[in-house]
Amino acid sequence: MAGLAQVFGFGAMTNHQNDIRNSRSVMIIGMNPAENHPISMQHILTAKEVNRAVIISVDPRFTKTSAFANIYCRLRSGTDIPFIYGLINIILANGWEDKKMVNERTYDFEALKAEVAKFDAATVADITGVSKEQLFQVAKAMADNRPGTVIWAMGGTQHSNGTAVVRTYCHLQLVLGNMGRPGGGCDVFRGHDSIQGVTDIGGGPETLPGYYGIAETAWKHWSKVWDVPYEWMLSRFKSKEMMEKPGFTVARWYEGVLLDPKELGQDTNIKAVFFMGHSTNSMSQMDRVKRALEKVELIVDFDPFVTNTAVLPDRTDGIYVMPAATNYEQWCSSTNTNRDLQWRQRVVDPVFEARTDLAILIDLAERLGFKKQFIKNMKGSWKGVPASMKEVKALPEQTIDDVLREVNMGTLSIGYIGQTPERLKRQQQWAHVFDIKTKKAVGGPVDGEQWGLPWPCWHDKHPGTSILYRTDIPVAQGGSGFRALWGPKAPDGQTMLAAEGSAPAGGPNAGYPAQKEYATDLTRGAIKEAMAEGRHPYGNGRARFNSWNIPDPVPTHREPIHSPRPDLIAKWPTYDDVKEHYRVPQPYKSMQKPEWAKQYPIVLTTGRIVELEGGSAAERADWWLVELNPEMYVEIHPKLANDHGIKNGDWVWIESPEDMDGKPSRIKVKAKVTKRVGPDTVFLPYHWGGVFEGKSLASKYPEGTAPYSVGESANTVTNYGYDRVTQMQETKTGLCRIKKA
Amino acid sequence: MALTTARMKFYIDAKRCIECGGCEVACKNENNVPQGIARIRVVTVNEGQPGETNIAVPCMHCSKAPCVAVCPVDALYTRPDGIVHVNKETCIGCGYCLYACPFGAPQFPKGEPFGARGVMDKCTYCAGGPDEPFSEKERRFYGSNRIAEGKLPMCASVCSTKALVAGDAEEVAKVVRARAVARGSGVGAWGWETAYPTGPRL
Amino acid sequence: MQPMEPIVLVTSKWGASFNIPWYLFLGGMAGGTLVIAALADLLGGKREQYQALSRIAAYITLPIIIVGGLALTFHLGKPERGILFPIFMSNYRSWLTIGGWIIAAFFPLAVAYAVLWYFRTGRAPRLIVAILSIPAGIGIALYTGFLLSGSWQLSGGYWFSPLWDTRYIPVLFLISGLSTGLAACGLVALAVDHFRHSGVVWGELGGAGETAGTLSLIDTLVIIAEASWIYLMLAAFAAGDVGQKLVYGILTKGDLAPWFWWGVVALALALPFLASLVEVLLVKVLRVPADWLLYVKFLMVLAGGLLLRYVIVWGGEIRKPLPFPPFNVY
Repeated sequence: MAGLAQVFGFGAMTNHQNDIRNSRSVMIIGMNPAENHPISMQHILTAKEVNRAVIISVDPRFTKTSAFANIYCRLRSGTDIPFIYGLINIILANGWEDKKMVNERTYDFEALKAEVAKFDAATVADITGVSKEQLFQVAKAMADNRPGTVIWAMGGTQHSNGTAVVRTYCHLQLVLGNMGRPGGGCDVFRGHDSIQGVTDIGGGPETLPGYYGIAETAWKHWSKVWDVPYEWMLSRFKSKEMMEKPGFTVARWYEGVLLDPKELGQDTNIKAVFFMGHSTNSMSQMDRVKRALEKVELIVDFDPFVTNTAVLPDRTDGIYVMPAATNYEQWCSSTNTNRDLQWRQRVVDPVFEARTDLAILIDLAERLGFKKQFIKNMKGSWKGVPASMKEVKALPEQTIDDVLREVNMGTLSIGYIGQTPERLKRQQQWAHVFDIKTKKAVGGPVDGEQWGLPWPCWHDKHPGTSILYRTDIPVAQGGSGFRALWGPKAPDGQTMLAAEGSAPAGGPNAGYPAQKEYATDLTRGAIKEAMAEGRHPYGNGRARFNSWNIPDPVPTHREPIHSPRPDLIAKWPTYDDVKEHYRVPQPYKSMQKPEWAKQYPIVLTTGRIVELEGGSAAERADWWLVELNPEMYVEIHPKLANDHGIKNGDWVWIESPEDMDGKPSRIKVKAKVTKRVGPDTVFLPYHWGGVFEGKSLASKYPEGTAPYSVGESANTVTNYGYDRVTQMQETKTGLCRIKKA
Repeated sequence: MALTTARMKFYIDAKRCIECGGCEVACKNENNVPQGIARIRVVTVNEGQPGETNIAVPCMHCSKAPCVAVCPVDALYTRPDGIVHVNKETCIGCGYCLYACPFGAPQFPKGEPFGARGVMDKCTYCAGGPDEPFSEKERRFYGSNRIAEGKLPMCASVCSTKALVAGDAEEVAKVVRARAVARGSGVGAWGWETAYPTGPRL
Repeated sequence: MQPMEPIVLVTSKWGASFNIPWYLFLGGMAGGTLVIAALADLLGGKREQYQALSRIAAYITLPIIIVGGLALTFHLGKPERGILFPIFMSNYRSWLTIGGWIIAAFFPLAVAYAVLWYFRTGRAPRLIVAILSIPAGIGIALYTGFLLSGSWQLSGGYWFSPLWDTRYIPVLFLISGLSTGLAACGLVALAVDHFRHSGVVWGELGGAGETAGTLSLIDTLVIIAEASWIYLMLAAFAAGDVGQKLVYGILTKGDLAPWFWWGVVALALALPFLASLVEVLLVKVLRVPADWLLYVKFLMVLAGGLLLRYVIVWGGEIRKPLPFPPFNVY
């Protein structure tokens, strides 16, 4: 997401899933939609059947998706950048690049050219393991079959250089000219229900809702929306400095408990942790998570099911497991991966003692003493909130409507304006009139609207922008250029505005900066003004090959921290250590030890399987899903298995190198011998929990709540490593060794 | 829409199925199928290798169903709309149908000694059984009756890639034809010729 | 792209418990013993040893068919419904229904024959029963084969269990039924003779042991016929369609090969044949009594006959693969 934002201006999937039906080539890299996004396969297979689209699967595993690919490349985990640069190199050498796109709508192509030149096909083959011929085949297929889309997910992002990896995907699409057209785009598929919505609404520790950041202007804007004085907001924090300092991330919050406060970016340790719909077995460094959960003073775990969090720590007190309602027990709007909002109806009242998320949060605010401010905004308080939240399990639909209206009020930066509850509910009634390929309504009261009103949706009549950065249609119908986020000029003096001739139809036919104060003018005057002139409020800028404000302005290859190739570590080392990143120290070079490749020769990668999701407390408590996939396992290639004397179904120990503790970790799982993985790689699904380093924790579940299946969590052995920009954990590339148990 | 009698069919597209298991779980949930019984299951061949293919195998409700031919007590019968049903109150549990069926559709509860293993259970095309529609007895013996509600079988309704298509023969044939045209050749209709030998040949 | 492996959906019910193989074995054997009883009665004239043989054969038919019938009944998921088959079984296209009536005809005959022998009612009524018993015995032995192969060919030409081939299995089971019937009679006759000398058994059964040599000789001829028939069947499978080839491979080289070669070919065919040769050598040339060898031979024939049923039932799990549609290149 951060990668996309640094290139184009918005951290969001640019096209939509249905739009894959327009693609003539589909590169699926670092992703397995057949297991993780099964419905999207409908669109991918339709493209394959109807358009004769070339499906290219690039993955360390021959996944269920790869089974449908025309070309499959087995890539060494963590070497995406050389692979993509190898492709760009071939494209440039043959003159297949889209010169109009590159010249008129991008910045600093020369810098990319210089970097790409280092990656000739032989170098790429050495690093990635993809042969020259195959690389050429892929490059030619992508060049010959335009528009093409690049789809990725966690396989691209969960690396120590994940943001850089994502930027190279974007660069490939820019070079091919696939941006801003149906069938093209950078299609990142988000991993959970409404996770795009969470990001939009400020789920990260570094921003307020709508990607405003946490600087003073952002706080002032939102204080205005929430109708509270900025000073009151400031008084809630220890200091202005702490108010404007990004907090901990979910990936490494436990260091805030474990490390000495002197090493942290704050004075004290974390004392309480409040989980809401999150499971600890999806976090790496499980042994440290366990210790943090044992040390922290208070743990609250709100979830419909008892998660791994509740049983992992060896403690008997200070841990509260609370029942939360599921999505079927509450109204809400939810945002899918391609920015579509959809209204959800409540199917049943919350069952038993379960409470809805909003009821929990308002009650928490009430008990902490700021309920009045919490439920208030500049148009008044949310309707339907009772005076006392005690015993209240759910709030009426009108409260939920008001929450969404508040989001519409303040989130001007990304055009989260036109998605009013009324329009969403009307779309729900008229869902049948939307075209499956374009997602545009044909007739009815919703005529011309895009399904889900994907943002930017600038006003109540705007159809929404289902394909970002599309210049062939006017702004009023969802056209836009690249976001002019970085001002009119780059630090080196080059223009950051699009060249003449590249602009959304119907407005000025050239680049222009963002409308002044469009994101903070709560009267929406600035937006109206821009729309009236056919200009896009956020401007018409250039996409960046050179993101000068983040590490590695032009992405370059860096070996994973745990690389099986010491010779390549010398040539492509990881980053220098970082003293403070999201309030915790983050070593890179000092954790990269070439000698580990000898002791731990096997690449360890993790992922999901179709039957289970995330931490999987719910799915493992469902007999029918457990019946289909009853046990935790490791996928091992027959050669590797035979070399270790392991047969299908044997118990094996997986051991990984020491992390920040200086202590190695291990798990005991069953072997699944399969050719899905290569002989140098093993694969672990990460959904299981309830067993820690060979010891079952099943007895620690409260009576009657233990899931049908418990197993070792893969994240006990995933290695240390975090993205340099977002602190995303590096679970897709690590090292390990196996032995028969 | 044809004016002839409906004739229900399944189309299993071997080139579309991604083995998500949605049909299996939805079927068990809809019909409350006991553990160990699989009215539909997904079979994968060449797993992890080029040519990996998945097929969802329910009861195909064959036009000349061999199970109906061999059943000694006529517990198996073909409804006018082509759905093959089993009457659990007359089935003697001999297992003959299992050996006659080319798809392995008949299911028998396992594990009890001396072969006293209850009666046969199979895919009902989500059309309940011979008892009164929507009755408690029908629900307990056969599961839900979506056909009587005017709905398609649950498995086909949830199929994520539309690999499993259910419905009236003519409607299904339209889908098969459309895919054949799009692909140029090979509709991937596994089991079609076996189950519907006298039907429209594709 | 590589061509796809055909799919075999393996399901199991009859092979998973002892009921059906034992029923097929006992049913065939009962058919054989009743036929022997009738033939010994009809062809043996008034010679005492053949009368004794007929009586023994008639007597042992009864427990064999009872045990076999119980095994058949209790393989059913609902045995109580099976016992009332005349009410329930209405589909006369199904061999299970036809078989029900064959057993229904066979069982009273077997009872009558044993009763007539027991009460020594004279020859005339016995001969009528004997004449009726021959088709009934052949029928029940054939039917055990048709029970399996009945699911093989149906209207419309479905061939799903290639091993259960109507052209081979019923005849094979008839021959094997005769062979095991002969072995059972021979075994009991020898044993009775043995115990008669010790004074345990009634005198009327005496002398049957003298027919053991003849029974063994006939059995050897039947074994030769059985071996030829199996050879014929396998030769046809080896040259057959994809399903038949699959079965041929599994039977001769695959999972079932040890059971087939050691259990059927060695135990039921080759070794008894060898034992017969040696026995003839010992008795006729060296003039050494070799009853023990006959015991061994008969026991081997019985064990081999049982294993034959197991192999055939297990082999029925192998279905003709449903082919994939041809693969095309996008």
